[in-house]
Amino acid sequence: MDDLIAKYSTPQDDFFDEDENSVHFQSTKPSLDLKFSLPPISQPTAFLRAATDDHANPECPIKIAHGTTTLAFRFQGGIIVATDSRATAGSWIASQTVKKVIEINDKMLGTMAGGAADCQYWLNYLGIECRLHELRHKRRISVAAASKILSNLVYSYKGMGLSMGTMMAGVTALEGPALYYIDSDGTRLSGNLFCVGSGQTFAYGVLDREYDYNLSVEDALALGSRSILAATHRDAYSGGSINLYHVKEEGWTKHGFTDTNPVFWKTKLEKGEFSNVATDF
Amino acid sequence: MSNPFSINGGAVVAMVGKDCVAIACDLRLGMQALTVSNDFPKIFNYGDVYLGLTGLATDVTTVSEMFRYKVNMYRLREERDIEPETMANLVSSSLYEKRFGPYFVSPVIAGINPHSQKPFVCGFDSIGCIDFAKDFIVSGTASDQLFGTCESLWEPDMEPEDLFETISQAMLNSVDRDALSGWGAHVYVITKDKVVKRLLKGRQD
Amino acid sequence: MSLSSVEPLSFDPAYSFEASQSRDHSGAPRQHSFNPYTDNGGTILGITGDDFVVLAGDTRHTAGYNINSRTERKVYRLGDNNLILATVGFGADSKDVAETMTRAVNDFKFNHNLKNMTVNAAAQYLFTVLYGNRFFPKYTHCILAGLDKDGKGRLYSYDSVGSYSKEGERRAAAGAASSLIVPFLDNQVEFKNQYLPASNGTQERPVEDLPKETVIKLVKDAFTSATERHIEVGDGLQIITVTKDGVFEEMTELKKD
Repeated sequence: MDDLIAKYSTPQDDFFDEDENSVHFQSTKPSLDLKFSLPPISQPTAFLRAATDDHANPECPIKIAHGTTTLAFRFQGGIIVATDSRATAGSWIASQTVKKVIEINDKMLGTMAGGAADCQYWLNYLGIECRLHELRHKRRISVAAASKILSNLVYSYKGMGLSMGTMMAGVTALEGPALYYIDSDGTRLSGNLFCVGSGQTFAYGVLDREYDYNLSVEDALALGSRSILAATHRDAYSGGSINLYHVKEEGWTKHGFTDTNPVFWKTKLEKGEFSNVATDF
Repeated sequence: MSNPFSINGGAVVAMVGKDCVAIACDLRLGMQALTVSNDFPKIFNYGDVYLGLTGLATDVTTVSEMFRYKVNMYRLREERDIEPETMANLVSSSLYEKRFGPYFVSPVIAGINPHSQKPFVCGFDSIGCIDFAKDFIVSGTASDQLFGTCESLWEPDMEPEDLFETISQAMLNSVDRDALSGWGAHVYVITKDKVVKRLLKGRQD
Repeated sequence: MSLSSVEPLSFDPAYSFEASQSRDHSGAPRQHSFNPYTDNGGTILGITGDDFVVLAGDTRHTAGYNINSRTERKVYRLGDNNLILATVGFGADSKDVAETMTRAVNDFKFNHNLKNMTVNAAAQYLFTVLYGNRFFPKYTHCILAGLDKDGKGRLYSYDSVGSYSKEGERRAAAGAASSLIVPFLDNQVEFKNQYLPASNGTQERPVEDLPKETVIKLVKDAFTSATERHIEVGDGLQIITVTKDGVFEEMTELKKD
């Protein structure tokens, strides 16, 4: 209390003299007003785990959607980002039309795996931070910096039950095509190629077999799409539609939100793949 | 997830029509999230009787083979095919024998009685309690979804073609909302002198 | 941040009426558990058309096998404009969310020269309300609906911590019997698994906006079916329709067994 009185009773002449590069703008804490209500008990984290984590407690009353296949890879023409669109709660398919690619701004994309609301909220928050960075520094934020804002943020909530596995993709003059993987444990990795989610192994299987940095744009898009298709076929918790994006320095372009069903039968009947699926007795 | 009824996934539904019955199953066999096979039918034929089995895949196979043996022995002793109603009681008593160590299956029976020509469907829990129904029976990991679609789409006295469309729509739309079943389906439409078996081309995700 | 400001309570939280023993069978002290949620059953459902939107909910309120009320409505009108909200899950949390939204919509109007909050703004606001409780979630599933600036029907559906689709949906259901109703709606509203008869199963039946009479029929069908097969659904059906002419409520009966 005394500190508060002292703070507001003494004149602060130097307040407006801080130059724009001062620590005032470099605060590591979230600069927006983030007020979250917490359960009135001594161990909120234990309560959260019991109420919302279906891995720790299969009978949990609040089911948060899990299960996904998302992938992104760097190549000579930029970055390809592809995802499925299924949301599941247990074995119940809650939605087949989830948009798991989040448009942070017109140059940068994030992908969504884990808690849908967590990804939506914090990537939206990141979009605000990136815009503020542009206004303060008069230039676009690097993907490295943006991804670090997110990883520091989720690290500050470690143990509170946030669940997200996200990839951030952007192309900047400074970095070229840049791709980062960030998850709610606080991991942050840069790399050429990532698959995230329950169907990641199936996507890696197809992607690793055909991947080459010098792929043409057309082939790269086809590979992203085919990898998701393979994952939706074998992973029960992936499916719906294939959401495809291509990130370039001018910004990202969308390449459709295509139902897997016609794509699957076309791939099977025209290319002779998926011979495990019978079409007659 | 360690529930034996939902490790492998699967769905079966049977419906009554006008002088006909239909029974359908999906084709998936999985190990939790991983789809292992897309060719695992869950309907087995014993003369005039069709038996659908969902639940733990190893028990589905074991129970279907056990009834093949029992029905064959019945045929040798009685010198006639088993009737659907008799089969229902055989399934019930066979399952209850294992009251304290049950097979993890939820059977469904469909058939037309060869003497009375009456359509017959019934379902069971895993220890043999019979559920006789005038309309439809559902079982498996998509049973909630099947209850919803069947209750909304089914109507009394459907002709075989309408019954086929109804059971197919009920099946496909239900398994499309269940992660653990689907990947195609088999449908049997049974009338007194003909059985039509069809393969449904369902979503493969 | 507010995270560090939480202190342990020095009294027993009186959220449960169960008489709790302070020692277990072996005589060891038993820890009190914190059970702030009850599932009060019920189901809600929404369908949009071109220039209208329908939200419906049954009026049964349950706790376990008990029926607390047969007349508890769960579709709310937010203020006196064309926004409606349906909530299902834990009754207390659901009502709290509905009241928070009503207050926000009214405050917005008074603070903005009697301008009504748009449906997409209300949708984004509801997201922040729900996510604001991320670490002590409201056990409630919401469906928000209204008409947008162009008079088109809009429908947004949320999970308990706020996740929603900005594009909105054509139809949504939540609550106890959603698993029974949703596959039926997939088939009858989005025409899933339906193909054009002449195309021999190669051409999907195109999705189209349904007329209001058809939508109301589907809603009633869905609820009578759910009532038949789900013990937590029944008693009464509340249907609220929003059109350019206003907000209309219809109450019909469901089976009470």
